[in-house]
Amino acid sequence: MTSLKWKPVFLVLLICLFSSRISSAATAKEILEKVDDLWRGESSFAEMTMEVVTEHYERSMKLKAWSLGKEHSLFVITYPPKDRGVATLKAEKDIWNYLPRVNRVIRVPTSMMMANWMGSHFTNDDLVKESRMSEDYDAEVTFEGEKDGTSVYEIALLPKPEAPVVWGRIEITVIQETLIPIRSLYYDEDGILSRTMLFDDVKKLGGRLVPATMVLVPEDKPEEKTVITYDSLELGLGLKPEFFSRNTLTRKDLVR
Amino acid sequence: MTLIKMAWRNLWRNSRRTFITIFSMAFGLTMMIVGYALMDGMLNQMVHYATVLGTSHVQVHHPDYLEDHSLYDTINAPGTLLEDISGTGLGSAAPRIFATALVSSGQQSAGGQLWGIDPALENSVTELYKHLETGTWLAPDPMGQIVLGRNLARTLSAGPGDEVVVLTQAADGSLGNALYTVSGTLKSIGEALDRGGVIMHIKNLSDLLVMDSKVHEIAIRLNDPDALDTASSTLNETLDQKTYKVENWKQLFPELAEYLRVSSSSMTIILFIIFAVASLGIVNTQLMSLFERTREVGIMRALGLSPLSVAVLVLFETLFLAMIAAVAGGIAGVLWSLRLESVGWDISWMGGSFAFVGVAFDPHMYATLTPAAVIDSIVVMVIVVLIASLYPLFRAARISPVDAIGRGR
Repeated sequence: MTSLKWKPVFLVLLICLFSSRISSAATAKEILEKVDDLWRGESSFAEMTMEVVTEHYERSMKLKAWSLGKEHSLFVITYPPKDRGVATLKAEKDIWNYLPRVNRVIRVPTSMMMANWMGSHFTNDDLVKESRMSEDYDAEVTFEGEKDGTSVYEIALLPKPEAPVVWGRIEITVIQETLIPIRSLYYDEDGILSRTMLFDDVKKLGGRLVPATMVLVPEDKPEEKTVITYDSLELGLGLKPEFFSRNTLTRKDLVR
Repeated sequence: MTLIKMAWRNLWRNSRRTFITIFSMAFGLTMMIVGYALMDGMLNQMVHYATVLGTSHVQVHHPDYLEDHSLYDTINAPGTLLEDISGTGLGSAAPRIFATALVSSGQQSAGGQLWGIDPALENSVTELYKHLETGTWLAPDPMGQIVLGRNLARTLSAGPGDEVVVLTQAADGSLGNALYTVSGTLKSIGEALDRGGVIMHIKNLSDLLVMDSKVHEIAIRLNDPDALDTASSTLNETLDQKTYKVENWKQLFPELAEYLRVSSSSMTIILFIIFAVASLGIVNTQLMSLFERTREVGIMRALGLSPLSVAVLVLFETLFLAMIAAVAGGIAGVLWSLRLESVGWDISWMGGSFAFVGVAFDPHMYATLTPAAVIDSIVVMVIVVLIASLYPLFRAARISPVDAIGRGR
């Protein structure tokens, strides 16, 4: 149940990474498709920090994350010591958790997809859904112009009729020049704003300009948030699909 | 006095008919008593399953806990609270912690509902420990044992001795995960426990959830289960209502309470209907015997017996029948009910254990015989018999001596 929350984050990150190659005249659909195309075959490795603030607790975690294309990703917690080594694998449609303390690999059942991951505001479902944005949603540019002194595109994503998605609508604001996102708004099926993701701290990581910080704020609890900060990023590692296997999950050297 | 003697003798002039009438009345009464006792037994069983197998009679929570079962809506000083409750002398109390979790054994995983209980206290509050299908109940000390609900054990293909991983979100946001050993599995108890119940020592669960000594629920078993409302109000007075919310099983299971309420009143109506149908036979018998004796009654009237006396004569005959039937049927009904009370009635041939209003049942019904069952049944029978005899009574009183004597020849 732990790993899934990350996928939306990764998707957005990927969008950011590759957005600079897209011409400014691109349509919303083209932007999303190009991002998806660029994703394919690409692999990445990132180190990040996740801070979670809720009504009941605050916690900070450090993670390592590997990804390959749309279908494979792997996360390992390196800090705090209590959770060190807890790893999550998304391979194809399945999600697996490795728990070093009990030395077991557990498949996350569909009934747990909406459970949150590691006490953050991301759900398992976020990870699975992230990789398929352009497949599950119809995109449309709803605004093109200047806002707060920056030229931006606003893209609205509406789920396709049969798409098995949680959101009723997603709105993404992207800087025209760099195609780096500033903000995503997630609306539920009743059209009510459910949560907001803000992107900040654009800097060069892995040779590209990306927003290194992402803040997720649930609308019903505005005092709570989950903040993800990229500490490092490497691209084009040539990882093989075989790397994303249940055997890798249990490797002790992942946390090193 | 003479009328009584005459009535008694009249009964035995056609003893076969009298026996048949008495037998049918007595049989009806027996069935009524047994039906009554079985119904009471079933209702008692339902309450028993709903209370002693899980819910208990009265529960105390944080005021918001039952709304969304949040991990954080806790009772923070369970020790003091337990003392306060035992101070009222109402019954035994036990603390509980709950959480939802991912439960996994081998390649199988499922969602589960974790129950942290203190076996030493819990066993005086609920009788879950008596309802094991396999294995043994939890040891008094926290030893990393769990007891699984029946369907969950099947989903996981886990039994006593197997290891099960429990994965849940702890109160500090971390990922609580631990390995436990199945010590036993439960029989069918109720949908929720069957499907997801994972019962473990409160200390084990408290550690897993990082809950310190906080708990979610205090379950109370009353010494006198019938004094439910009194007990609730006593507890409400004793405990601070801002910190604690006291609810009894009738408030926690409103459907069941409503069903019980309707059942007992509908039972009386059903008994009346059954006996009213049976009473048609009584009306018939009385009329038959009256027609046979039309001439005789005519002569008695001619000799100076008043219409009222004739009516009283028929009434006495009916009352004798009813009394004999009440004794015979009452004894038979009580004996049969007592047997059903001790041996029970195996109805597993009707399709194994079943659930009703969300409460699971053993496919073995036990009767509960109460004085009310016998008294109510006899009263209902006498009333119905008397009503049934009104028409024959009326007919008898209206017999005209001239017509009656003339008709006979």
